[in-house]
Amino acid sequence: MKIEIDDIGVRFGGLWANRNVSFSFEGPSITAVIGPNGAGKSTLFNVMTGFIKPATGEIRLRGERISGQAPEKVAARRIGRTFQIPEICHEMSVRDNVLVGAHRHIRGNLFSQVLNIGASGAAEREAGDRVDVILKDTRLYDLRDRPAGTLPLGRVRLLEIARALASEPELLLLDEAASGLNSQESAELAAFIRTLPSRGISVLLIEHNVGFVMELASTVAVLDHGQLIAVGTPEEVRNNEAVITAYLGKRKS
Amino acid sequence: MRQIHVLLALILAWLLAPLLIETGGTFNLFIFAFINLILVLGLSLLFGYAGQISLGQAGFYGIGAYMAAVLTVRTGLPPVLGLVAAIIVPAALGYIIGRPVLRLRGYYLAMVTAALGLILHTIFVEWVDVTGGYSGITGIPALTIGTLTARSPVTMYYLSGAVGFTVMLLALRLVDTAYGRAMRTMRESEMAARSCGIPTARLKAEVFALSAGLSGLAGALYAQYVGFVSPESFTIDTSINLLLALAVGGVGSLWGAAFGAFLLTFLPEWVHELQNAYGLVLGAMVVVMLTLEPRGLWGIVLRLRDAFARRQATTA
Ligand SMILES: Nc1ncnc2c1ncn2[C@@H]1O[C@H](COP(=O)(O)OP(=O)(O)O)[C@@H](O)[C@H]1O
Ligand SMILES: [Mg+2]
Repeated sequence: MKIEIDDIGVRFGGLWANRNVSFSFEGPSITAVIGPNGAGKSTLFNVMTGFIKPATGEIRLRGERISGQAPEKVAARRIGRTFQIPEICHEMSVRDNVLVGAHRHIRGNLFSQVLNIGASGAAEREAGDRVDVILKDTRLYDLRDRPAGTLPLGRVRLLEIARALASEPELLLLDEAASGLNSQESAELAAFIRTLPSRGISVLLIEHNVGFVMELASTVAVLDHGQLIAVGTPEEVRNNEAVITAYLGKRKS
Repeated sequence: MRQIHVLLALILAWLLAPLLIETGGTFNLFIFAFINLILVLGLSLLFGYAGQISLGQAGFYGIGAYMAAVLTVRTGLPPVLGLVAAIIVPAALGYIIGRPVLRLRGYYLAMVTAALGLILHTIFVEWVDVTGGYSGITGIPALTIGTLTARSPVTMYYLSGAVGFTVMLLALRLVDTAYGRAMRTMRESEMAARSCGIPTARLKAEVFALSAGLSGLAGALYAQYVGFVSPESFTIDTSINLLLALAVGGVGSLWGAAFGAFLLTFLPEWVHELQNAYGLVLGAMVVVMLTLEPRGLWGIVLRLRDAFARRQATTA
Protein backbone atom coordinates (compact mmCIF):
# COMPACT_ATOMS: atom_id res chain seq x y z
CA MET A 1 0.00 0.00 0.00
CA LYS A 2 1.29 3.43 -0.89
CA ILE A 3 -0.23 6.79 -0.06
CA GLU A 4 0.89 9.87 -1.92
CA ILE A 5 -0.06 13.30 -0.66
CA ASP A 6 0.70 15.51 -3.61
CA ASP A 7 0.71 19.30 -3.41
CA ILE A 8 -2.41 19.56 -1.24
CA GLY A 9 -3.79 23.06 -0.78
CA VAL A 10 -6.93 24.00 1.18
CA ARG A 11 -8.27 27.51 1.59
CA PHE A 12 -10.70 28.81 4.20
CA GLY A 13 -11.44 32.37 3.15
CA GLY A 14 -8.11 34.13 3.14
CA LEU A 15 -6.35 31.40 5.10
CA TRP A 16 -4.44 28.54 3.52
CA ALA A 17 -5.05 25.75 6.06
CA ASN A 18 -2.89 23.48 3.88
CA ARG A 19 -0.44 24.76 1.28
CA ASN A 20 1.79 22.72 -1.02
CA VAL A 21 1.72 19.75 1.34
CA SER A 22 3.46 16.77 -0.25
CA PHE A 23 4.79 13.58 1.29
CA SER A 24 4.21 9.90 0.87
CA PHE A 25 4.56 6.69 2.82
CA GLU A 26 4.27 2.98 2.31
CA GLY A 27 2.64 0.44 4.57
CA PRO A 28 2.25 -1.37 6.76
CA SER A 29 3.84 1.32 8.88
CA ILE A 30 3.20 4.01 11.46
CA THR A 31 3.52 7.59 10.25
CA ALA A 32 2.87 10.71 12.28
CA VAL A 33 1.78 14.23 11.42
CA ILE A 34 2.75 16.70 14.10
CA GLY A 35 2.55 20.45 14.41
CA PRO A 36 1.22 23.17 16.67
CA ASN A 37 -2.51 23.79 17.09
CA GLY A 38 -4.02 25.25 13.94
CA ALA A 39 -1.18 23.93 11.77
CA GLY A 40 -3.64 22.20 9.42
CA LYS A 41 -3.31 18.59 10.55
CA SER A 42 -7.02 17.84 10.91
CA THR A 43 -7.65 19.64 7.63
CA LEU A 44 -5.25 17.26 5.91
CA PHE A 45 -7.14 14.29 7.41
CA ASN A 46 -10.40 15.75 6.16
CA VAL A 47 -8.95 15.98 2.68
CA MET A 48 -7.67 12.41 2.87
CA THR A 49 -11.09 11.10 3.97
CA GLY A 50 -13.18 13.06 1.49
CA PHE A 51 -14.75 15.60 3.85
CA ILE A 52 -12.91 18.48 2.19
CA LYS A 53 -12.16 18.85 -1.51
CA PRO A 54 -8.71 20.35 -1.86
CA ALA A 55 -8.21 23.52 -3.88
CA THR A 56 -4.98 22.12 -5.28
CA GLY A 57 -3.30 18.75 -5.52
CA GLU A 58 -4.51 15.23 -4.95
CA ILE A 59 -4.22 12.21 -2.69
CA ARG A 60 -3.41 8.88 -4.32
CA LEU A 61 -3.84 5.41 -2.91
CA ARG A 62 -1.90 2.83 -4.92
CA GLY A 63 -1.60 5.42 -7.64
CA GLU A 64 -5.35 6.08 -7.85
CA ARG A 65 -6.78 9.42 -6.90
CA ILE A 66 -9.04 9.32 -3.84
CA SER A 67 -9.28 13.03 -2.99
CA GLY A 68 -12.45 14.70 -4.17
CA GLN A 69 -14.48 11.51 -3.69
CA ALA A 70 -17.30 11.35 -1.15
CA PRO A 71 -16.27 10.17 2.35
CA GLU A 72 -18.29 6.96 2.04
CA LYS A 73 -16.46 6.15 -1.19
CA VAL A 74 -13.13 6.75 0.51
CA ALA A 75 -14.19 4.48 3.37
CA ALA A 76 -14.89 1.77 0.82
CA ARG A 77 -11.23 2.04 -0.22
CA ARG A 78 -10.43 0.75 3.26
CA ILE A 79 -9.46 3.98 4.92
CA GLY A 80 -10.80 4.32 8.45
CA ARG A 81 -10.55 7.27 10.79
CA THR A 82 -11.25 8.74 14.20
CA PHE A 83 -12.13 12.33 15.02
CA GLN A 84 -10.36 14.88 17.19
CA ILE A 85 -13.71 15.68 18.79
CA PRO A 86 -15.25 12.21 19.09
CA GLU A 87 -18.24 11.50 16.88
CA ILE A 88 -20.16 8.64 18.43
CA CYS A 89 -23.81 7.70 18.85
CA HIS A 90 -24.41 8.39 22.55
CA GLU A 91 -27.66 6.53 23.07
CA MET A 92 -26.52 3.40 21.27
CA SER A 93 -24.58 0.70 23.09
CA VAL A 94 -20.80 0.47 22.82
CA ARG A 95 -21.15 -2.73 20.82
CA ASP A 96 -23.67 -1.27 18.38
CA ASN A 97 -21.39 1.71 17.83
CA VAL A 98 -18.58 -0.63 16.86
CA LEU A 99 -20.94 -2.65 14.66
CA VAL A 100 -21.58 0.53 12.67
CA GLY A 101 -17.96 0.31 11.62
CA ALA A 102 -18.72 -3.07 10.06
CA HIS A 103 -21.62 -1.58 8.09
CA ARG A 104 -19.98 -2.12 4.71
CA HIS A 105 -19.58 -5.81 5.39
CA ILE A 106 -23.21 -6.44 6.28
CA ARG A 107 -24.88 -6.98 2.96
CA GLY A 108 -28.44 -6.44 2.01
CA ASN A 109 -30.95 -3.62 1.95
CA LEU A 110 -33.69 -2.45 4.27
CA PHE A 111 -36.02 -5.29 3.33
CA SER A 112 -33.58 -8.18 3.40
CA GLN A 113 -32.25 -7.02 6.76
CA VAL A 114 -35.62 -6.48 8.40
CA LEU A 115 -37.01 -9.77 7.14
CA ASN A 116 -33.69 -11.49 7.76
CA ILE A 117 -33.54 -13.06 4.32
CA GLY A 118 -30.60 -13.58 2.03
CA ALA A 119 -27.10 -13.27 3.40
CA SER A 120 -27.92 -10.49 5.88
CA GLY A 121 -28.28 -12.70 8.95
CA ALA A 122 -25.03 -14.56 8.40
CA ALA A 123 -23.15 -11.37 7.62
CA GLU A 124 -24.53 -9.75 10.77
CA ARG A 125 -23.39 -12.70 12.90
CA GLU A 126 -19.95 -12.73 11.30
CA ALA A 127 -19.61 -9.00 11.88
CA GLY A 128 -20.75 -9.51 15.47
CA ASP A 129 -18.06 -12.11 16.07
CA ARG A 130 -15.39 -9.88 14.60
CA VAL A 131 -16.62 -6.92 16.64
CA ASP A 132 -16.42 -8.96 19.84
CA VAL A 133 -12.75 -9.72 19.12
CA ILE A 134 -12.09 -6.02 18.53
CA LEU A 135 -13.93 -5.14 21.74
CA LYS A 136 -11.67 -7.50 23.65
CA ASP A 137 -8.55 -6.11 21.94
CA THR A 138 -9.52 -2.59 22.91
CA ARG A 139 -10.66 -3.66 26.40
CA LEU A 140 -14.16 -2.43 25.82
CA TYR A 141 -15.75 -5.87 25.99
CA ASP A 142 -16.95 -5.52 29.58
CA LEU A 143 -18.56 -2.20 28.69
CA ARG A 144 -20.19 -3.44 25.49
CA ASP A 145 -23.80 -3.03 26.62
CA ARG A 146 -23.35 0.41 28.15
CA PRO A 147 -24.72 3.41 26.24
CA ALA A 148 -21.67 4.91 24.59
CA GLY A 149 -22.56 8.34 26.01
CA THR A 150 -21.74 7.13 29.52
CA LEU A 151 -18.09 6.32 28.78
CA PRO A 152 -15.21 8.54 29.94
CA LEU A 153 -13.17 10.26 27.22
CA GLY A 154 -10.36 7.71 27.31
CA ARG A 155 -12.81 4.92 26.47
CA VAL A 156 -14.58 7.00 23.86
CA ARG A 157 -11.30 7.41 21.99
CA LEU A 158 -10.82 3.65 22.10
CA LEU A 159 -14.39 3.19 20.94
CA GLU A 160 -13.72 5.31 17.87
CA ILE A 161 -10.63 3.25 17.12
CA ALA A 162 -12.60 0.04 17.60
CA ARG A 163 -15.29 1.28 15.23
CA ALA A 164 -12.72 2.20 12.61
CA LEU A 165 -11.05 -1.20 12.99
CA ALA A 166 -14.38 -2.95 12.48
CA SER A 167 -14.40 -1.60 8.95
CA GLU A 168 -11.20 -3.61 8.35
CA PRO A 169 -9.12 -0.68 7.19
CA GLU A 170 -5.81 -0.94 5.49
CA LEU A 171 -5.05 2.63 6.55
CA LEU A 172 -6.20 4.00 9.89
CA LEU A 173 -6.12 7.75 10.52
CA LEU A 174 -6.07 8.72 14.19
CA ASP A 175 -6.70 12.37 15.01
CA GLU A 176 -5.17 13.13 18.42
CA ALA A 177 -6.14 9.76 19.79
CA ALA A 178 -4.08 10.32 22.92
CA SER A 179 -5.38 13.76 23.83
CA GLY A 180 -7.32 13.79 27.07
CA LEU A 181 -5.88 10.46 28.15
CA ASN A 182 -3.88 10.04 31.35
CA SER A 183 -0.31 8.74 31.08
CA GLN A 184 -1.24 5.13 31.73
CA GLU A 185 -4.03 5.21 29.18
CA SER A 186 -1.81 6.76 26.54
CA ALA A 187 0.95 4.21 27.20
CA GLU A 188 -1.62 1.44 26.70
CA LEU A 189 -2.87 3.11 23.56
CA ALA A 190 0.67 3.41 22.19
CA ALA A 191 1.28 -0.28 22.86
CA PHE A 192 -1.92 -1.13 21.03
CA ILE A 193 -1.18 1.08 18.03
CA ARG A 194 2.24 -0.56 17.76
CA THR A 195 0.59 -3.95 17.14
CA LEU A 196 -1.44 -2.74 14.15
CA PRO A 197 1.17 -2.85 11.33
CA SER A 198 1.82 -6.53 12.03
CA ARG A 199 -1.87 -7.07 11.21
CA GLY A 200 -1.44 -5.29 7.91
CA ILE A 201 -2.90 -1.99 9.11
CA SER A 202 -0.99 1.20 8.41
CA VAL A 203 -1.48 4.02 10.86
CA LEU A 204 -1.27 7.72 10.20
CA LEU A 205 -1.57 9.60 13.44
CA ILE A 206 -1.90 13.23 14.36
CA GLU A 207 -0.50 14.45 17.60
CA HIS A 208 0.50 17.72 19.04
CA ASN A 209 2.10 15.85 21.94
CA VAL A 210 5.46 15.19 20.28
CA GLY A 211 6.72 12.68 22.85
CA PHE A 212 3.88 10.28 22.12
CA VAL A 213 4.72 9.89 18.45
CA MET A 214 8.48 9.90 18.49
CA GLU A 215 8.66 6.34 19.81
CA LEU A 216 5.83 5.05 17.66
CA ALA A 217 6.30 6.44 14.20
CA SER A 218 8.93 5.49 11.67
CA THR A 219 8.23 8.64 9.65
CA VAL A 220 7.20 12.02 11.01
CA ALA A 221 5.81 14.89 8.95
CA VAL A 222 5.70 18.33 10.51
CA LEU A 223 3.14 20.97 9.56
CA ASP A 224 3.24 24.60 10.56
CA HIS A 225 0.87 27.31 9.33
CA GLY A 226 -0.45 24.87 6.76
CA GLN A 227 2.93 24.08 5.25
CA LEU A 228 5.05 21.00 5.49
CA ILE A 229 8.26 22.14 7.17
CA ALA A 230 9.97 18.80 7.64
CA VAL A 231 9.53 15.11 7.00
CA GLY A 232 11.83 12.25 8.00
CA THR A 233 12.68 9.84 10.76
CA PRO A 234 11.92 10.99 14.33
CA GLU A 235 15.65 11.59 14.80
CA GLU A 236 15.94 13.78 11.71
CA VAL A 237 12.85 15.75 12.63
CA ARG A 238 13.95 16.26 16.21
CA ASN A 239 17.15 17.94 15.05
CA ASN A 240 15.56 19.96 12.28
CA GLU A 241 16.08 23.73 12.69
CA ALA A 242 12.71 24.71 11.25
CA VAL A 243 10.91 22.30 13.57
CA ILE A 244 12.69 23.58 16.62
CA THR A 245 11.80 27.17 15.75
CA ALA A 246 8.19 26.29 15.02
CA TYR A 247 7.74 24.62 18.36
CA LEU A 248 9.86 27.05 20.38
CA GLY A 249 8.32 30.00 18.58
CA LYS A 250 4.93 28.71 19.54
CA ARG A 251 5.93 28.25 23.13
CA LYS A 252 7.17 31.82 23.50
CA SER A 253 3.96 33.39 22.23
CA MET B 1 -36.23 -10.04 23.86
CA ARG B 2 -38.49 -8.58 26.55
CA GLN B 3 -39.95 -6.19 23.96
CA ILE B 4 -41.40 -9.18 22.15
CA HIS B 5 -43.13 -10.31 25.35
CA VAL B 6 -44.73 -6.91 25.81
CA LEU B 7 -45.79 -6.95 22.18
CA LEU B 8 -47.28 -10.44 22.47
CA ALA B 9 -49.23 -9.40 25.58
CA LEU B 10 -50.57 -6.39 23.71
CA ILE B 11 -51.53 -8.52 20.73
CA LEU B 12 -53.39 -10.88 23.03
CA ALA B 13 -55.21 -7.97 24.65
CA TRP B 14 -56.06 -6.62 21.20
CA LEU B 15 -57.45 -9.98 20.06
CA LEU B 16 -59.58 -10.39 23.17
CA ALA B 17 -60.68 -6.79 23.68
CA PRO B 18 -63.80 -7.11 21.47
CA LEU B 19 -65.20 -9.47 24.12
CA LEU B 20 -65.21 -6.54 26.53
CA ILE B 21 -65.92 -3.60 24.26
CA GLU B 22 -69.58 -3.27 23.40
CA THR B 23 -70.01 0.00 21.58
CA GLY B 24 -69.02 0.67 18.03
CA GLY B 25 -67.70 4.07 19.11
CA THR B 26 -64.80 2.57 20.98
CA PHE B 27 -63.92 0.38 18.01
CA ASN B 28 -63.80 3.51 15.95
CA LEU B 29 -61.33 5.07 18.33
CA PHE B 30 -59.08 2.04 18.25
CA ILE B 31 -59.18 1.98 14.46
CA PHE B 32 -58.09 5.62 14.34
CA ALA B 33 -55.47 4.88 16.99
CA PHE B 34 -53.98 2.16 14.77
CA ILE B 35 -54.01 4.51 11.78
CA ASN B 36 -52.29 7.18 13.88
CA LEU B 37 -49.85 4.54 15.10
CA ILE B 38 -48.70 3.90 11.54
CA LEU B 39 -48.33 7.65 10.94
CA VAL B 40 -46.40 8.34 14.14
CA LEU B 41 -44.17 5.27 13.68
CA GLY B 42 -43.24 6.58 10.23
CA LEU B 43 -42.37 9.93 11.75
CA SER B 44 -40.49 8.30 14.60
CA LEU B 45 -38.25 6.39 12.20
CA LEU B 46 -37.63 9.52 10.15
CA PHE B 47 -37.21 12.06 12.93
CA GLY B 48 -36.51 10.08 16.10
CA TYR B 49 -34.12 7.59 14.55
CA ALA B 50 -32.74 9.11 11.36
CA GLY B 51 -32.85 12.69 12.70
CA GLN B 52 -34.70 14.25 9.74
CA ILE B 53 -37.63 16.46 10.67
CA SER B 54 -40.78 16.56 8.56
CA LEU B 55 -43.67 18.97 8.84
CA GLY B 56 -45.19 17.59 5.66
CA GLN B 57 -46.35 14.13 6.71
CA ALA B 58 -49.99 15.05 6.19
CA GLY B 59 -49.24 15.56 2.51
CA PHE B 60 -48.16 11.94 2.06
CA TYR B 61 -51.04 10.80 4.28
CA GLY B 62 -53.30 12.68 1.89
CA ILE B 63 -51.73 11.20 -1.23
CA GLY B 64 -52.38 7.75 0.22
CA ALA B 65 -55.98 8.59 0.99
CA TYR B 66 -56.60 10.11 -2.45
CA MET B 67 -54.86 7.24 -4.25
CA ALA B 68 -57.18 4.79 -2.50
CA ALA B 69 -60.17 6.99 -3.26
CA VAL B 70 -59.47 7.97 -6.86
CA LEU B 71 -58.31 4.58 -8.09
CA THR B 72 -61.36 2.78 -6.75
CA VAL B 73 -64.09 5.39 -7.24
CA ARG B 74 -62.97 6.91 -10.53
CA THR B 75 -61.23 4.02 -12.27
CA GLY B 76 -62.93 1.11 -10.57
CA LEU B 77 -59.81 -0.74 -9.52
CA PRO B 78 -60.13 -3.17 -6.59
CA PRO B 79 -59.51 -1.56 -3.17
CA VAL B 80 -56.41 -3.69 -2.56
CA LEU B 81 -54.71 -2.14 -5.57
CA GLY B 82 -55.69 1.27 -4.25
CA LEU B 83 -53.99 0.37 -0.98
CA VAL B 84 -50.83 -0.79 -2.73
CA ALA B 85 -50.69 2.35 -4.85
CA ALA B 86 -51.27 4.38 -1.69
CA ILE B 87 -47.99 3.02 -0.35
CA ILE B 88 -45.88 3.03 -3.49
CA VAL B 89 -46.78 6.45 -4.91
CA PRO B 90 -45.98 8.51 -1.79
CA ALA B 91 -42.85 6.42 -1.19
CA ALA B 92 -41.58 7.03 -4.71
CA LEU B 93 -42.45 10.72 -4.51
CA GLY B 94 -40.76 10.89 -1.09
CA TYR B 95 -37.58 9.43 -2.54
CA ILE B 96 -37.49 11.74 -5.54
CA ILE B 97 -38.21 14.84 -3.46
CA GLY B 98 -36.11 13.64 -0.53
CA ARG B 99 -32.91 13.25 -2.48
CA PRO B 100 -32.38 17.01 -3.06
CA VAL B 101 -34.39 18.36 -0.13
CA LEU B 102 -32.78 16.33 2.64
CA ARG B 103 -29.49 18.06 2.02
CA LEU B 104 -31.04 20.75 4.19
CA ARG B 105 -30.93 20.45 7.95
CA GLY B 106 -32.86 21.56 11.01
CA TYR B 107 -35.04 24.63 10.60
CA TYR B 108 -34.55 24.70 6.85
CA LEU B 109 -35.71 21.14 6.46
CA ALA B 110 -38.68 21.90 8.71
CA MET B 111 -39.65 24.85 6.51
CA VAL B 112 -39.20 22.99 3.24
CA THR B 113 -41.22 19.98 4.36
CA ALA B 114 -43.94 22.30 5.69
CA ALA B 115 -44.00 23.97 2.28
CA LEU B 116 -44.24 20.57 0.63
CA GLY B 117 -47.26 19.74 2.79
CA LEU B 118 -48.79 23.05 1.82
CA ILE B 119 -48.30 22.38 -1.89
CA LEU B 120 -49.87 18.94 -1.62
CA HIS B 121 -52.80 20.32 0.36
CA THR B 122 -53.33 22.96 -2.31
CA ILE B 123 -53.34 20.27 -4.99
CA PHE B 124 -56.00 18.32 -3.04
CA VAL B 125 -58.12 21.48 -2.97
CA GLU B 126 -57.53 22.78 -6.47
CA TRP B 127 -57.32 19.70 -8.68
CA VAL B 128 -61.08 19.49 -8.57
CA ASP B 129 -61.50 17.08 -11.51
CA VAL B 130 -59.62 14.39 -9.69
CA THR B 131 -59.95 15.21 -5.99
CA GLY B 132 -63.37 16.79 -5.94
CA GLY B 133 -61.95 19.95 -4.35
CA TYR B 134 -63.35 20.93 -0.97
CA SER B 135 -66.28 18.53 -1.28
CA GLY B 136 -63.85 15.66 -1.59
CA ILE B 137 -64.67 12.14 -2.76
CA THR B 138 -67.46 10.03 -1.31
CA GLY B 139 -68.44 6.41 -1.68
CA ILE B 140 -64.97 4.93 -1.37
CA PRO B 141 -65.39 1.16 -1.21
CA ALA B 142 -64.21 -0.64 1.92
CA LEU B 143 -61.03 -2.66 1.78
CA THR B 144 -61.71 -6.18 0.57
CA ILE B 145 -59.19 -8.95 0.89
CA GLY B 146 -60.43 -12.19 -0.65
CA THR B 147 -63.92 -12.62 0.77
CA LEU B 148 -63.30 -10.40 3.78
CA THR B 149 -64.67 -6.87 3.55
CA ALA B 150 -63.61 -4.45 6.26
CA ARG B 151 -66.83 -2.48 6.48
CA SER B 152 -67.99 -3.17 10.00
CA PRO B 153 -66.06 -1.59 12.87
CA VAL B 154 -65.08 -5.03 14.24
CA THR B 155 -63.55 -6.28 10.98
CA MET B 156 -61.74 -2.99 10.52
CA TYR B 157 -60.61 -3.11 14.15
CA TYR B 158 -58.89 -6.41 13.44
CA LEU B 159 -57.58 -5.37 10.05
CA SER B 160 -56.13 -2.01 11.12
CA GLY B 161 -54.77 -3.65 14.28
CA ALA B 162 -53.09 -6.38 12.26
CA VAL B 163 -51.48 -3.77 10.03
CA GLY B 164 -50.53 -1.59 13.01
CA PHE B 165 -48.92 -4.43 14.94
CA THR B 166 -47.10 -5.63 11.84
CA VAL B 167 -45.67 -2.17 11.22
CA MET B 168 -44.66 -1.92 14.91
CA LEU B 169 -42.97 -5.32 14.78
CA LEU B 170 -41.09 -4.53 11.57
CA ALA B 171 -40.06 -1.12 12.91
CA LEU B 172 -38.75 -2.67 16.14
CA ARG B 173 -36.79 -5.11 14.04
CA LEU B 174 -35.55 -2.39 11.67
CA VAL B 175 -33.95 -0.24 14.35
CA ASP B 176 -31.94 -3.26 15.48
CA THR B 177 -30.47 -4.08 12.07
CA ALA B 178 -27.37 -2.62 10.47
CA TYR B 179 -29.74 -0.34 8.58
CA GLY B 180 -31.22 0.94 11.83
CA ARG B 181 -27.82 1.45 13.42
CA ALA B 182 -26.81 3.46 10.38
CA MET B 183 -29.91 5.66 10.81
CA ARG B 184 -29.21 6.25 14.48
CA THR B 185 -25.56 7.06 13.86
CA MET B 186 -26.49 9.45 11.08
CA ARG B 187 -28.83 11.33 13.42
CA GLU B 188 -26.02 12.08 15.84
CA SER B 189 -23.13 12.41 13.44
CA GLU B 190 -23.24 12.38 9.68
CA MET B 191 -19.46 12.54 9.73
CA ALA B 192 -19.21 9.34 11.76
CA ALA B 193 -21.72 7.62 9.51
CA ARG B 194 -19.96 8.62 6.31
CA SER B 195 -16.54 7.69 7.64
CA CYS B 196 -17.99 4.21 8.23
CA GLY B 197 -19.00 3.99 4.58
CA ILE B 198 -22.68 4.85 5.04
CA PRO B 199 -24.04 6.80 2.05
CA THR B 200 -26.03 9.29 4.11
CA ALA B 201 -27.68 11.14 1.22
CA ARG B 202 -29.24 7.91 -0.04
CA LEU B 203 -30.08 6.68 3.44
CA LYS B 204 -31.97 9.89 4.27
CA ALA B 205 -34.00 9.70 1.07
CA GLU B 206 -34.79 6.02 1.70
CA VAL B 207 -36.03 6.67 5.23
CA PHE B 208 -38.03 9.65 3.97
CA ALA B 209 -39.57 7.36 1.36
CA LEU B 210 -40.28 4.75 4.02
CA SER B 211 -42.08 7.23 6.25
CA ALA B 212 -43.98 8.63 3.25
CA GLY B 213 -45.02 5.10 2.30
CA LEU B 214 -46.25 4.41 5.83
CA SER B 215 -48.17 7.70 5.83
CA GLY B 216 -49.74 6.68 2.53
CA LEU B 217 -50.72 3.31 3.96
CA ALA B 218 -52.39 5.07 6.89
CA GLY B 219 -54.16 7.37 4.43
CA ALA B 220 -55.59 4.45 2.47
CA LEU B 221 -56.81 2.69 5.62
CA TYR B 222 -58.46 5.94 6.69
CA ALA B 223 -60.13 6.60 3.35
CA GLN B 224 -61.33 3.04 2.90
CA TYR B 225 -62.77 2.90 6.39
CA VAL B 226 -64.43 6.31 6.52
CA GLY B 227 -65.51 6.05 2.87
CA PHE B 228 -64.91 9.76 2.35
CA VAL B 229 -61.90 12.04 1.90
CA SER B 230 -61.59 15.80 1.80
CA PRO B 231 -58.60 18.15 2.00
CA GLU B 232 -59.27 19.31 5.57
CA SER B 233 -57.92 16.05 6.99
CA PHE B 234 -54.50 16.75 5.45
CA THR B 235 -53.53 20.21 6.60
CA ILE B 236 -50.37 21.32 8.33
CA ASP B 237 -52.31 21.00 11.60
CA THR B 238 -52.28 17.25 11.09
CA SER B 239 -48.53 17.25 10.46
CA ILE B 240 -47.88 19.33 13.55
CA ASN B 241 -50.14 17.18 15.72
CA LEU B 242 -48.22 14.07 14.65
CA LEU B 243 -44.96 15.73 15.64
CA LEU B 244 -46.40 16.89 18.98
CA ALA B 245 -47.81 13.43 19.67
CA LEU B 246 -44.38 11.96 19.01
CA ALA B 247 -42.77 14.53 21.30
CA VAL B 248 -45.16 13.70 24.15
CA GLY B 249 -44.81 9.96 23.64
CA GLY B 250 -41.05 10.01 23.26
CA VAL B 251 -39.02 11.01 20.24
CA GLY B 252 -36.27 8.44 20.45
CA SER B 253 -38.42 5.37 20.96
CA LEU B 254 -40.93 3.38 18.95
CA TRP B 255 -42.89 2.61 22.11
CA GLY B 256 -43.00 6.33 22.76
CA ALA B 257 -44.42 6.76 19.26
CA ALA B 258 -47.13 4.24 20.12
CA PHE B 259 -47.98 6.14 23.32
CA GLY B 260 -48.14 9.34 21.31
CA ALA B 261 -50.42 7.85 18.67
CA PHE B 262 -52.90 6.55 21.23
CA LEU B 263 -52.80 9.81 23.16
CA LEU B 264 -53.45 11.75 19.95
CA THR B 265 -56.52 9.60 19.35
CA PHE B 266 -57.97 9.27 22.82
CA LEU B 267 -57.15 12.65 24.35
CA PRO B 268 -59.84 14.52 22.38
CA GLU B 269 -62.39 12.00 23.69
CA TRP B 270 -61.22 12.21 27.27
CA VAL B 271 -61.36 15.97 27.39
CA HIS B 272 -64.52 16.01 25.29
CA GLU B 273 -66.50 17.73 28.00
CA LEU B 274 -64.06 20.61 27.98
CA GLN B 275 -64.86 21.36 24.32
CA ASN B 276 -61.70 22.66 22.69
CA ALA B 277 -59.53 22.04 25.73
CA TYR B 278 -57.85 19.25 23.78
CA GLY B 279 -55.34 21.61 22.21
CA LEU B 280 -54.68 23.12 25.59
CA VAL B 281 -54.03 19.77 27.22
CA LEU B 282 -51.84 18.43 24.40
CA GLY B 283 -49.94 21.72 24.17
CA ALA B 284 -49.34 21.81 27.92
CA MET B 285 -48.15 18.21 27.84
CA VAL B 286 -45.62 19.05 25.12
CA VAL B 287 -44.30 22.02 27.09
CA VAL B 288 -44.06 20.09 30.35
CA MET B 289 -42.58 17.00 28.71
CA LEU B 290 -39.92 18.69 26.67
CA THR B 291 -38.74 20.74 29.63
CA LEU B 292 -38.93 18.05 32.32
CA GLU B 293 -38.58 14.72 30.52
CA PRO B 294 -37.37 15.09 26.94
CA ARG B 295 -37.76 11.35 26.42
CA GLY B 296 -41.52 11.84 26.79
CA LEU B 297 -43.98 9.42 28.34
CA TRP B 298 -41.66 6.61 27.40
CA GLY B 299 -38.96 8.31 29.46
CA ILE B 300 -41.27 8.24 32.46
CA VAL B 301 -41.80 4.52 31.93
CA LEU B 302 -38.02 4.04 31.83
CA ARG B 303 -37.61 6.04 35.03
CA LEU B 304 -40.24 4.00 36.81
CA ARG B 305 -38.60 0.80 35.62
CA ASP B 306 -35.19 1.94 36.85
CA ALA B 307 -36.61 3.02 40.22
CA PHE B 308 -38.34 -0.33 40.52
CA ALA B 309 -35.13 -2.19 39.63
CA ARG B 310 -33.23 -0.20 42.24
CA ARG B 311 -35.80 -1.00 44.90
CA GLN B 312 -35.62 -4.65 44.00
CA ALA B 313 -31.84 -4.47 44.28
CA THR B 314 -31.89 -2.86 47.73
CA THR B 315 -34.53 -5.17 49.19
CA ALA B 316 -32.86 -8.27 47.79
N1 LIG C 1 -14.23 24.50 8.49
C1 LIG C 1 -13.34 25.50 8.68
N2 LIG C 1 -13.66 26.76 8.32
C2 LIG C 1 -12.77 27.77 8.50
N3 LIG C 1 -11.55 27.63 9.01
C3 LIG C 1 -11.17 26.39 9.39
C4 LIG C 1 -12.05 25.26 9.25
N4 LIG C 1 -11.41 24.16 9.70
C5 LIG C 1 -10.21 24.57 10.12
N5 LIG C 1 -10.05 25.90 9.93
C6 LIG C 1 -8.85 26.68 10.21
O1 LIG C 1 -7.79 26.07 9.52
C7 LIG C 1 -6.62 26.06 10.31
C8 LIG C 1 -6.12 24.65 10.48
O2 LIG C 1 -7.04 23.95 11.30
P1 LIG C 1 -6.85 22.42 11.68
O3 LIG C 1 -6.60 21.65 10.46
O4 LIG C 1 -7.99 22.03 12.51
O5 LIG C 1 -5.52 22.48 12.57
P2 LIG C 1 -4.90 21.37 13.53
O6 LIG C 1 -5.67 20.13 13.40
O7 LIG C 1 -3.49 21.24 13.07
O8 LIG C 1 -4.96 21.94 14.91
C9 LIG C 1 -6.97 26.75 11.62
O9 LIG C 1 -6.57 28.09 11.56
C10 LIG C 1 -8.47 26.63 11.68
O10 LIG C 1 -9.02 27.70 12.40
MG1 LIG D 1 -6.76 19.14 14.78
